Amino acid sequence: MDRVGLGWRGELAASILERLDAIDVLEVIAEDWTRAPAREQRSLRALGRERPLLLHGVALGLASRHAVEDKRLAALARLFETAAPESWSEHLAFVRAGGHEIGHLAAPPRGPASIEGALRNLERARRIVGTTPALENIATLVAPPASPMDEGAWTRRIVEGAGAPMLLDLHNLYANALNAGIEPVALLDTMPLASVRLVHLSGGRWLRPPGLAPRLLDDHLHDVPDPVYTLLETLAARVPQPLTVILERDGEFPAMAHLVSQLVRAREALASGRRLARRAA
Amino acid sequence: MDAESFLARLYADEAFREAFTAAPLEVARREGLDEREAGEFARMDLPGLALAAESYARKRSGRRGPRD
Repeated sequence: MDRVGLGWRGELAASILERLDAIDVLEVIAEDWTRAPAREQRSLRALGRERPLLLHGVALGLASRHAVEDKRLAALARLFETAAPESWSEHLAFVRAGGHEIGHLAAPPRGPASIEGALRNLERARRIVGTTPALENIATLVAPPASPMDEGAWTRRIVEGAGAPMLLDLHNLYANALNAGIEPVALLDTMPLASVRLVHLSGGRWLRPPGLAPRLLDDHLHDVPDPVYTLLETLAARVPQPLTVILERDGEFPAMAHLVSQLVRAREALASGRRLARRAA
Repeated sequence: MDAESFLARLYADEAFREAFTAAPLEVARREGLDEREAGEFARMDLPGLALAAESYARKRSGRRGPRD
């Protein structure tokens, strides 16, 4: 059964608890909690009794030729054990290399070195945390140089090689497609759709540097644009497996009713896609 | 330096990025990338690099940015 939920943010906590009727599942940012005292981490277990909890990592840097630090995996494993989430996810990104901390999720050169490194890191993560994370495609404002593979082929090699579920971020995909000048649906079709279990929706804004082509920045501060709901409908029409869709909002928070209206639109897009699939069958 | 570390430094080190932008091929070779990688970095999207680096710098400075 498809599910629709929301990213847990402290600013939204009271509103979320008031509107659990509209929320099937909650996603929690792991790094917001890994350094919290055990007592606070255990509060996540209580939250998980209200709605299934998904843990979302943002700082491991799994898609790297370099090894993820043990201490980061160990901290995640402790949180996983204490909070008892339904599952966890991380990004197909690197965040540091060669002693340089990027401070954010970046696309590594897409080639054999990052694929092999990602598979090694994923195996260690599986051993230490206990399960393989769902892997999320990231947004990037620049195509990584020294990349003999395109995003879809590279993503498939890692997701399928690790036997991991995929967390498909449709706004990231939308932004990458527009920034690269390709059709979003064409990029969608290169992804390992049979592995998709989770979906992220969010919004962004256009950067318009003088004299240069505009680029779409995924900033999680704006509403989900209409074409992203259409991509969700397309995805739901193309895959038979249940999807869990999470709306991400990191700031400039609107009224809860407005966020709930976006959850409703996501449910409608899912239902519409499922109807299309039934008609085509 | 491997290509991934080179890219991380381009994002994180403003002075290095400025030197690269002024002479991409020369800097890539000097840092030890092989000739194929150096050539690919020399052809990279420099406006995109600048936008991405600015976005990452905002994140490092603690201003709110995207989670993913």
